[in-house]
Amino acid sequence: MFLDVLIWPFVVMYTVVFLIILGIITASVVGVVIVIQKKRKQEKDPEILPKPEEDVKKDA
Amino acid sequence: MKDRTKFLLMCLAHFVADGAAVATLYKITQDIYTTAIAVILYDILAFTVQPLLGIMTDFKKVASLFLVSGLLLIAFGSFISFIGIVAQAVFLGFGNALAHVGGFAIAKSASKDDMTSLGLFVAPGALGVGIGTLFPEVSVALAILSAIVALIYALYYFFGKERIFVPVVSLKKPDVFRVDWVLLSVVLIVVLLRGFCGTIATGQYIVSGTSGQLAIYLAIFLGKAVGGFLADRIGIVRITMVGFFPSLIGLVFFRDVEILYVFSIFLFNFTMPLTLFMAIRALRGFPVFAFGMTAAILFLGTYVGDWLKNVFRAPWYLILALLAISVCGIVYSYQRTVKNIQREKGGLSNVS
Repeated sequence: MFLDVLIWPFVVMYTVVFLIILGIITASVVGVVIVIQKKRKQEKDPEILPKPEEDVKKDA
Repeated sequence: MKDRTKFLLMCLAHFVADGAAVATLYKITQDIYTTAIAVILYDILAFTVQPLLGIMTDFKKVASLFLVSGLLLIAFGSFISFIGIVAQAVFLGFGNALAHVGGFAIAKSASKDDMTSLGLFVAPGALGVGIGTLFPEVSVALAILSAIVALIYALYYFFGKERIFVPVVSLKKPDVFRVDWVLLSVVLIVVLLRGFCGTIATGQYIVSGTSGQLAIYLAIFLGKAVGGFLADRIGIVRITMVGFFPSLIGLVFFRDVEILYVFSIFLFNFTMPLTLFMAIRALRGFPVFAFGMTAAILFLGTYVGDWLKNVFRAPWYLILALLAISVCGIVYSYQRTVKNIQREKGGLSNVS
């Protein structure tokens, strides 16, 4: 029954879309991990923390 | 603008963003392949891009920019039918993702750190999708309303004390970023299973016209709103036991009885604000990313469920088993969340 109703172009399309969704989700998780590592690095090395005064000037 | 007004405006923004985008897509009638491509493109952009935009929102002060540009993109996408449905879907999908992420960030900052607020914010989206699906002829009205909400918010920022487009310094406190990957994984599995089961366990009765379909969307809307409110008052575990658990019986054994099925849908949606709350707790420092991630995972579950529904009729025991796993996942996530809070505060928490 399962194979009877399969329409291969749709199966390929569904699979491709599934992989795209999974890829974007994975990319965002990797993004968070990278951000956390960057922040931890900054916390360990206070010299590379941006100074508040500089930020205020930049924003202005 | 007062916090409460801002929060209500964000709820309205959520409603119009979903309503206008979905109504526009349903209004357009093309051949099946073009429509399928447009809908898939819209869904991918509207849901899966949210975590990526969420990371940006957590670190830069771009929430207002995202909200305003998202709502305007939706309004713009609704009116430019001459460029074709696929191009329209891109505008609508990306605009929807921007509006969701921006709206959530603003609503979160304007509300208490509780499940009531989360439930109240997420609920209008279901109503918007329902109105858009069942009454696509209102797409123009919703698109105009979308532009009006964007305009009101933009005016408030231009003439208010706060300013948009100004980047903010990233958070620096060493203890701000803490991710509990185990808790996050469990919560996301629960969300995935809920999306999957909610799709394959569809009603098996003859829908009583538009009012019958509207009843389902109203049940989802009320379930999310009431679930958050009750969870703050009686606790996560109790709400799971008295709400979500009985809904399993209705969704599995009474899918052919309309009233019981609709009531089960209402109870089933109680867990939506709870899982969002626990996902935010699992991702300390990334609330908007957590929101986007739950949306993306829910879509993944719905997508797989929708796919399988066409080729495979899920047996009742499979649905029951998956939903039972969800219940266990929620209880475990709750216990882990409480432990995390106790560890952070060094005392008893009042989450339950």
